[in-house]
Amino acid sequence: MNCLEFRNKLGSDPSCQDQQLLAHRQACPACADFAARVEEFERRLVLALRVPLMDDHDGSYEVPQNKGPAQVPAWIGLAASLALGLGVGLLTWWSAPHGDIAQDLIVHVQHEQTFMVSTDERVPYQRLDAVLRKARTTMPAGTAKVSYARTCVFRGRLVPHLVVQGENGPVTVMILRDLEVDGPTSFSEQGFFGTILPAAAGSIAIIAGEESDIEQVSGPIVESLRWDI
Amino acid sequence: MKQENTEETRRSRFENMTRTHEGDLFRFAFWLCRDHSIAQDLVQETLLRAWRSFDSLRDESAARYWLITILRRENARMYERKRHPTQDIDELTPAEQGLLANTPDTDLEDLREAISRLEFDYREPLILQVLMGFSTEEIAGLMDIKQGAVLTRLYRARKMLMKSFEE
Repeated sequence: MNCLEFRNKLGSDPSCQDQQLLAHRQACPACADFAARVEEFERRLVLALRVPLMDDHDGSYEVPQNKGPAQVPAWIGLAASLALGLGVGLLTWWSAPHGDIAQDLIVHVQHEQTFMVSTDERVPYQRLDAVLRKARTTMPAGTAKVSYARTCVFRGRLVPHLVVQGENGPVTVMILRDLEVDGPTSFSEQGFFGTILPAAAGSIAIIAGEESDIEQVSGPIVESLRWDI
Repeated sequence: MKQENTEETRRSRFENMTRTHEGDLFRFAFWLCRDHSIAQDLVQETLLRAWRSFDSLRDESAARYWLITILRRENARMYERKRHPTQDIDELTPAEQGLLANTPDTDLEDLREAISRLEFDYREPLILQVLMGFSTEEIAGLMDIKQGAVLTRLYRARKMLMKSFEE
């Protein structure tokens, strides 16, 4: 093994324990120095790649508990939503007729019904803000009682999906930045009431089990949501 | 009752397996897409698909390779759907900057930035080798390229990083 072969080998696989490699290192002081530099660099590389896990990781990777469907953990629901999104995503966002949007929203909400529950739990603002910022929006803390905030795949796009606690029950809010609507569109299907409101950029979909909750929840959100941050 | 126990055992095995690997799965996902939220979504989608096909995993000692295979496929699918633009390091969100620069060690910060700037074809095999501990043969299998190509990419990736590290 010559010096070039030694350096090529070490550069592509520093942990290699090849006998020829070790023999060359012992015989060649220059390559021994090179190997020491590579080892030091490799130590730094491992440290650099081991980025810390985020503080706001909320345990959503937990696997399901075998205690019935009402207690299916968050990741299963979200992942189901994502899987649904994959199916729906076969259609592109723009090629799908807007008239079907209500039906798609209902299907999406039904797949996430695990989170459509009345609860006193609130999502940390840091988490909510991170989800909204992916759609280049933000909302002041305390605007709404948000119990669930996740990014979902909907019609092939990543969209913020929130569950807000209304006076009579949970309300789903989805920020559809890429869907323009001419004016408010209301719908009522399969026991859900919904509305799609035009926004500064795109639209906001709001779906609830009780019609009265829609206005109560949508008002503060529409007023305080900031776009193009 | 017996069926419930079997299902519970299955879940328990899956839970143990994922807890062992989820940290590195997140790190791998983060270095692939350089986006904290997308990385979390990728891991979640990966775990759902893994759960669905858990019975196909015959040898749980191969779980790491199996999970990475699923995650890479999901990353490709998500990339195709969303067409993430190449992310400029200067445009990272504060959360992502926090991931890259969470230490007072400026050398380490510089190295993380340099890794982030590496082209995807060089970055991925390097992460698979250094972070995930795969052999060049395994990396070649995962990436569906020849082992020689893996060695070349790894050599060039290190050369580029060492150059920026030693400057």
